[in-house]
Amino acid sequence: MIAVGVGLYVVGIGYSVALSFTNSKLLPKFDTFVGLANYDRLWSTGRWLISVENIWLFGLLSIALNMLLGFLLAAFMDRRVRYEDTFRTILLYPYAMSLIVTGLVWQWMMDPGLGIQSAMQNWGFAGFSFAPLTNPDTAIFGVVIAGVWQGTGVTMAILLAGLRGIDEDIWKAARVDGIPTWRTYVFIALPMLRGALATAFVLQAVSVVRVYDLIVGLTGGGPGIATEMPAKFVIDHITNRVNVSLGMAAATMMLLPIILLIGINLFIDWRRKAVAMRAAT
Amino acid sequence: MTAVVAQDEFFAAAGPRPRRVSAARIGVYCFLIGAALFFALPLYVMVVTSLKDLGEIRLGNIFNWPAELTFEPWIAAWSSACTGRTCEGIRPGFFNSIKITVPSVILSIIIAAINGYALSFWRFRGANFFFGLLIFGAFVPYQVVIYPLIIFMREVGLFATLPGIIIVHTIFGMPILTLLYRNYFSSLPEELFKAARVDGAGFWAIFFRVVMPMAVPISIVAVILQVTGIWNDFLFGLVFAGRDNMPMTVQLNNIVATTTGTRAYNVNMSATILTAAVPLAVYFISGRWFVRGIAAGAVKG
Amino acid sequence: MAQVKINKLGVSFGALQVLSDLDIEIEGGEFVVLLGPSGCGKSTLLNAIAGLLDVSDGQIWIDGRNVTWEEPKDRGIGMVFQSYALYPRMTVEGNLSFGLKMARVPKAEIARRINAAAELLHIDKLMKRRPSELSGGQRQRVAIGRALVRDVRVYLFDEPLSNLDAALRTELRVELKRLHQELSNSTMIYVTHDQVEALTLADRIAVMHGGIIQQFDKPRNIYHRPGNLFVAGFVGSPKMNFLDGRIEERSGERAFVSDEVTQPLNGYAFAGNVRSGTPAKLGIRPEHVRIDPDQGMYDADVELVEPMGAETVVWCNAVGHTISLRLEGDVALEGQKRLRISFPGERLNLFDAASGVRL
Repeated sequence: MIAVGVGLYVVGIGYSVALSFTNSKLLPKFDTFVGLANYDRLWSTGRWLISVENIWLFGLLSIALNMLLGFLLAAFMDRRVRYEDTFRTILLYPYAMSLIVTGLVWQWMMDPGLGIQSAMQNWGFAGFSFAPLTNPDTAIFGVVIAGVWQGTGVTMAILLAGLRGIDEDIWKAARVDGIPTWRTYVFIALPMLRGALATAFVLQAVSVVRVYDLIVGLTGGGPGIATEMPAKFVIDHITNRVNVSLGMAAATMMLLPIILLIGINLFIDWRRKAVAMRAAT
Repeated sequence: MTAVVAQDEFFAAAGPRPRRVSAARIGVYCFLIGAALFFALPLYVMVVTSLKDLGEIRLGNIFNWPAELTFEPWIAAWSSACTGRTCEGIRPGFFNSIKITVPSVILSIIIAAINGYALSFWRFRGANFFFGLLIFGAFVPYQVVIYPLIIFMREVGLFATLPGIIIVHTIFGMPILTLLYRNYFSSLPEELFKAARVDGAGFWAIFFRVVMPMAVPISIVAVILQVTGIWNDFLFGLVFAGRDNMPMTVQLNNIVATTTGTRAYNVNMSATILTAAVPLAVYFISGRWFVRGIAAGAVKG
Repeated sequence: MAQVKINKLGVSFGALQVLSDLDIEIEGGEFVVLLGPSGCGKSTLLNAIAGLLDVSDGQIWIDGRNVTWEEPKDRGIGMVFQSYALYPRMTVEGNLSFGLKMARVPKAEIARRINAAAELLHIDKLMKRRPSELSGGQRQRVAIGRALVRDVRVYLFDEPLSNLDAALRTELRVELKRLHQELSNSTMIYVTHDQVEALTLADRIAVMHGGIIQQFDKPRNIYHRPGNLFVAGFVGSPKMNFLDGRIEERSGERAFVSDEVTQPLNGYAFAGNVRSGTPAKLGIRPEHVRIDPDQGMYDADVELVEPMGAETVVWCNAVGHTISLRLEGDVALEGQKRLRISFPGERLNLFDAASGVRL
């Protein structure tokens, strides 16, 4: 059973990669191999180039904001605040909601005529402007806001669990040593959270690579093609645009960062084992 | 001199340290409350918008409490909103989602539990290799395997059918769920397993009598993870479910994206809340279990 | 010499009152062990002295200064924890110096103190290592070093040896004692549940139970003249043997009387006057039960013999109770099913049955 399941993945990936070397349009055809032609075309397609640029911008910005905000929130929540459960419930509920829902809600909030912008203007802030989705240059930042809103709670929860796992005596020792609280968090707790940070990072990175629903719900890729993403590029090419081989070339490209990530992970594992071996001898 | 010392002692510190509200403390609360507002705002806006009539919405005050409460949009969203093809509201999507979610959750969890059990207790040859592939599978972008799966489903005649979408969810849930169970089972003492074998129990006897009764907590986590995950899915529903089995999320997107007639923002928001209601209910009821689910779902190796 | 004085201390966690109205006075340069079962309040007391938890009542004085409201770092204390609590991502050197850097101690002074501590604790070769690359014993040495470099005169130890295996524990115990002798003007307060540690290390032991100090005395008195039933039962292994009965005075001679025994009490030093007929408990340590084939007073049926190398513990059925005897390691009891035993009067312990106080 496992073999079948795993086999399906491997065969599926192999099939996709193989297709990217053919000129299949609507249906898979393996009679004409065209080599790297699809990759050539892919990297000269404006839509793909913008998608790649977008995912970098979106990924770096949203992960950075997510981790920073998540750590700050976790550290503050760890300070024995009252109503901790209430705060956690509020910070985490977006994660329970579908990305489609997230997209639609923020689309409504960022509506230029009826959303936050108009509400603020009606309250007397005449010059207030907040409608990132209408402008191709700023639309991606709107996506970042929605993404951070949806995912930060998880990072907070993971890091908070990590903080709670730190030995109580360490905090006591730091107090006896007279180390200021914020320094204890930055210099002692943060390095101890490496595992939790890695977990949160991987979770966010995977969701960035997969980002599709959020775009469909929030911008539909627009305005124009300003917020297109690789995942959407692939789906569009195998459904509406009937260019399977180009879509598969794009899908193969999407596989690369994941392989890279796993490679880095394996390397770190290997190095840790090597260090452990050295310490043991 | 002595009198002064005595007085000092009399007024000296004793008992609890007097509490002073420090600036840092105020800062902590300000930050948390600010963050809570940012996170809570969209939910609030969703709710108030869904309770206003269109006239009031057009005034452009999304933060204001409705001047006049109306539940019309909710009724419309549930039973009469149009998707471009039909005007049955989001109701069919709701029932489709249930028809998809329930069997998918049950099926995927049963298979994953058996897999995890086999991987952690019965160390067959190549178990580690399979385990590595599973981790890989958990991180692979869906886009890479979605097309071959379409072709496969077409070949076996399950494309755009209910069993088809259930199988798809089961397949894609497999890596993460198997990891979940495998990690949980690995944390159980191996002596337990050895003792059962000495007592003469076989593969299935150990699974049903010894391992599964202990797997209740992790199974709750798995159910939470799968119910919210499958209910919230959009991509697979869009691609694999077919018109007759469209899940709620796809239906919702169709309703909102429909451009015919005036845009009924209040109906859209009602439909959005209705779509989010099931996972939100799971979240609010499960509380800390949900957090555990995230942490468990996020672990690797 | 830094004296530590606790005045009417109260500590409560919410509605739970852990310590109340507790007084203790520790002399400068003294090594005091707080001994008791888990949950007796000994760690709470230590943490209160350190300033790591808020007190609800009373005062704490260290070195003539009222530190009740002071931050831990300002109290002139160093502390060593059971779990070592080393900062895992820093080297040994970093662990030792971090607190000093925070306090803006000059670099040369930091180096001097670290070298002194490292030499004293034999960790000078480990300075560049991380805690994860150290053994348990080495980690605890570093943790002690981190307390030492603070250059204070009161050191607090919270079960520092409990996470170590038996051999290391013995080794470090000896070193701690040596350390205290070398730092002769520093006061040490040491929490443990291990009575051997307490008896070997302490100048004075405070036995705690239920948040109350049961007895605060020299180890010798704790063991040989326990102040109440709890102390008598808690210290010593195997436990002291106890019999229920009453004190009776017959023709000017006092005796302990029960259904099974009439034990004369000549040689016993009473703490005060005792009325005839007072219900009492008689306690005798296993090593004080005497085997006396000729003049023994009671029959003892041997049930079990446990040879332990240096000593032999014999479990008998006598005077209606299970009585343990501690004998020499090489004693041979083969075949002996019945012994004659007696309880020497000067070795007895008598407690009031109602209050548990020593008579």
